[in-house]
Amino acid sequence: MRELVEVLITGFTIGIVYFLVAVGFTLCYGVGRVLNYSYGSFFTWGAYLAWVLAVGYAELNYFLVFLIVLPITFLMGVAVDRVIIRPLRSRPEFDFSVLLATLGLAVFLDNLVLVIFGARTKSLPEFLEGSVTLAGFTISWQLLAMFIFAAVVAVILFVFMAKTRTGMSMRAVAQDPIGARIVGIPLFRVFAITFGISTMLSGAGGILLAPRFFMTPLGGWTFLVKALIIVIAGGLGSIKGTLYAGFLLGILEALVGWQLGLLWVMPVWFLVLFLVLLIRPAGLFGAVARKG
Amino acid sequence: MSIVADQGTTSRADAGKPGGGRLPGDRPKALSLNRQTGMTIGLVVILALLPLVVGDSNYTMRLLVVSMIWGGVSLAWDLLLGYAGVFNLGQVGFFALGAYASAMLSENAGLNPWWGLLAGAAAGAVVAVLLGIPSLRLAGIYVALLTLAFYEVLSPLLTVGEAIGTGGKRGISPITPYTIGGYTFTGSNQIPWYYVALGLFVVCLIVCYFAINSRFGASFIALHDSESFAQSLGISRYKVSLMIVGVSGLLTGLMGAFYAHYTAVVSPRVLGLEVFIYLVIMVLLGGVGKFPGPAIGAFIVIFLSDWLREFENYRMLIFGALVVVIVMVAPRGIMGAVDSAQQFVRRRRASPATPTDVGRSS
Repeated sequence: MRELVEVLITGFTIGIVYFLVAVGFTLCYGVGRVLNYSYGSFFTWGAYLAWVLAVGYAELNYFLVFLIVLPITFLMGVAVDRVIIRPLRSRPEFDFSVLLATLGLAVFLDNLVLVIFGARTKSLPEFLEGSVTLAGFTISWQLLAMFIFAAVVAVILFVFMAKTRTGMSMRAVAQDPIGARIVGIPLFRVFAITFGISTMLSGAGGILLAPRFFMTPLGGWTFLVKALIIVIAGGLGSIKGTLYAGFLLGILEALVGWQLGLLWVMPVWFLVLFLVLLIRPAGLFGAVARKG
Repeated sequence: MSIVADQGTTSRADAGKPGGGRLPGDRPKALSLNRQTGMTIGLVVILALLPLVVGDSNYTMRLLVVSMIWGGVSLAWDLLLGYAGVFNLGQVGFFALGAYASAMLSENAGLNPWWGLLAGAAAGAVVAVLLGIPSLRLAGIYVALLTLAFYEVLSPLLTVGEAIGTGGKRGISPITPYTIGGYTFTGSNQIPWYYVALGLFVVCLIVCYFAINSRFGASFIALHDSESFAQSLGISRYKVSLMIVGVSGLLTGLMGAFYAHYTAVVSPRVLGLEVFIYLVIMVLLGGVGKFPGPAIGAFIVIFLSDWLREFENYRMLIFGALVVVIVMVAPRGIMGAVDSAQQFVRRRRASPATPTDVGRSS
């Protein structure tokens, strides 16, 4: 029983990190109509940049690491949007072109990591060591720190989307790009910022989860697929759906990993996704599955 | 960015129509039929005669066999990507399942490897249809997401499937080679392998050719040109797509089955990213929706990859960048460039005074 509760707490924490990672992906689609298949590579880049700063070439503390790495991943995203995505926007087959271009970009970025850092797995130390006992349950500080950080980022994100001018522009573009343009919202700038925020969230996820999983140059793909499954299960473009699906699947991962072993996690996730789609083809909270 | 290819394929059919430009409805039918047929027959004749020239070099023959295997797969994939508009990213999954089906039946059940070809094809088709049933009801992008998830999940699934004889992480090896009338195929003589591969490749060419140039293919052109009108004629996108997904899975599984016996080993590594991205470049480079371009792309990619072998890690870096560049600069690949050249020549010949060809029947 006690073990079960601890597993659930772990699942809940992983769930909120998964939510962060997945929400970046869904945001990018909801606002910019871009399905970014290189999303996982930014996860990898976030983790490796953090490794450079925290282990490899300097021993900065994690607070500084986040402060340096997050803007870098943001700028990488903006650059990708400018150089690759924007020129494709005028294409009639935009979806298809973006899909292939970002796939190619993912391979490029992953292999850049491979060339620079080598194929050996790396790991980040935990943010905080030791554990705390609350009401009879043992929780590691690491898990608590992850939870707090992820929760803070999530709250900032919600406030940003609801209150700031940029956030409101993003929502306006998501609802109606042409209407937004008519009222003077600079579409391309909003697209670029959205892309940057989404890659930044992916990078943040990379740093948060790196102490838990080993880092490999191709490790980002697992998280791209995890983000995909969460996003589809929750309903593409729906932030609320992503939140519930993130928690659901995070807890499921902890339970499956505890009872059956980590190798079963992805098959079980896929089964859940399959069942969700059979019952609700647009995901738990999706509106109608959009054509195109 | 895409001036070359865009101009090349702009014809009367899609002039001024926003959705046009990718599917086969956008080119003059009779001409491309001739070119398709000519190129297909030419390709087969060259391949049939090539062993006379390079038959001595086992190495080159091996590259050619591998090219034909992947050539068949890229044609099958292009049926979905370029013609049916189904963004399936799980094609390598069908290939791996075909390979596993054949390998498992011959190693665990002692079946004659030749039957494995049928089993592989059946496995590919069945899984493709099963995957298609839930995903084809969804919009195009969902198909891409769902099939990618399928592809990524397959590798752990085959690893945990050790209990049913998938061999876990290490896979199945060695796998029994084919035998004809007492003669067993070996690695030192590539000629028999080559002609079996050629036979299977021709099967892929023929099936794809007829799928495209038939009522079946016509319904896709109709759906592309005007979906609601096509539907009013009784064409169901779902049904037609599901059928073509089945056909594509069948051909892919068939090639997978042959691949298993040819390389004598099958493991979850087939599902690695490298194979997937190779396939993407083959189709892209050859030309999406430009039969038989993707097959030609396969030959180029296999030989290019062999040539770049010494670069090791940098090779995938180059290929990744190549995908981005092709998408941005020449989205219709080599066949698209051929189209442009042809159009250019015809325009020059017809009347140099006409400024554009929009509105003129070409």
